Amino acid sequence: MKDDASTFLPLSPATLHILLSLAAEDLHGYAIMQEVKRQSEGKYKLGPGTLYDNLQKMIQRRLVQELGSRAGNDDPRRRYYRLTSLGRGVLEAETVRLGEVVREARQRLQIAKPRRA
Amino acid sequence: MLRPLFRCVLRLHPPYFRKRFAGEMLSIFDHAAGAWGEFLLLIDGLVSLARQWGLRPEFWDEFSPEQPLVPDGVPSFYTLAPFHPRTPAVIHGLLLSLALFCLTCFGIRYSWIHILHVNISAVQFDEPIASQANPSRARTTLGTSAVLPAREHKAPIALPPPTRASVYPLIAPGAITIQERSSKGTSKLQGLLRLSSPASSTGFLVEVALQDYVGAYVIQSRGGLTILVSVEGGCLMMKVAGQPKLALTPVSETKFMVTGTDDWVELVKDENSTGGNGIAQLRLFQGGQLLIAQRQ
Repeated sequence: MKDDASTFLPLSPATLHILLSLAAEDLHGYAIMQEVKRQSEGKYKLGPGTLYDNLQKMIQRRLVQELGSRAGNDDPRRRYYRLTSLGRGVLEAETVRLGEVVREARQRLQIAKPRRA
Repeated sequence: MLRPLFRCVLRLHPPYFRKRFAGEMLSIFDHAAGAWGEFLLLIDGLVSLARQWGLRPEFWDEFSPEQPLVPDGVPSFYTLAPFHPRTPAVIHGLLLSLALFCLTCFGIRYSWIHILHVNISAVQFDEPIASQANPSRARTTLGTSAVLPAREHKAPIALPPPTRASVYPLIAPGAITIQERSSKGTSKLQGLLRLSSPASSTGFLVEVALQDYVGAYVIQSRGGLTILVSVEGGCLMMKVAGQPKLALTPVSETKFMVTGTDDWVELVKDENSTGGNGIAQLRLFQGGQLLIAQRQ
């Protein structure tokens, strides 16, 4: 599984944010956009064109599963999406990779930081 | 106000994308706050339209999720039916095909030129026969820069100067026959033919006994019409009663073109005949008609 996940790395920012937003619960497209906006504190805005283009690819790669619409008062046009086990593995692998990048970056920045007298 | 326009943009998307995501995208549009928000979504829809048609050919039609892999990592079944090549791959393939097509055309053209210039032999006379000082020893040359076809000749004896455009296609096989005959040796030397390779100017001499053909030939079916064959200036000549004398241009050991016409003559041997080294018959092919003249 880990080897399979590593073939998807590195992830694009949109893919990373979508996987991250689906990590906690199943969401529909508009909710994913709102969640991405919240995660990035409004710095990264995902348009519907980019969102569904990425969802399309992720469904084909079996990172995300489409659940269909839900009964009740919800808008029938909305479809919900769920993170698959492969998608979760990819997200974990990307998180580890980004953690190493951040650690490496901090080390180098620490070295480059001028010493105070 | 922008909603109908946004719906039009969604309708222009590839069929599968439209079928699957257009409703959701319209739902998101309905949640947009204010005209500025709707305008941004419209721009996003236009970008999506260009992206889906230009960069996502694999999603134009309905796709099936990737085939499950068997434990050894090899797909159990795979088909190219829903496959759409990437746009850059199509462009590269187009350019490659065009280059191969041009190379093939160039190769074919080069091949044609190569055959025309190298493999076809022809006849060329070094100097006009009429101006030769020694009539008993004429010299002719076989080569590429040769003689005009017989139908282009109007003068009965004098041959035109060599030109590259004029070629006798039948001369090569005949020339080989003459060479074989000469290797055995002939006693009655009347003319010299020189065969030359088209690729080089060096040639070799071949002796031909034209004297064997000299004589009178009578066409019985034409009321005893006589054809006189003679050798003048190393060239075989033919004279029909009441007509001017015509030169005969050799195309093989026994076949001659009548210079200035489309007619040709074949001198046939008869093993039982004793005179003229076995030549017993003259066959004149004139205007699609065959006239047979017996030697006297």
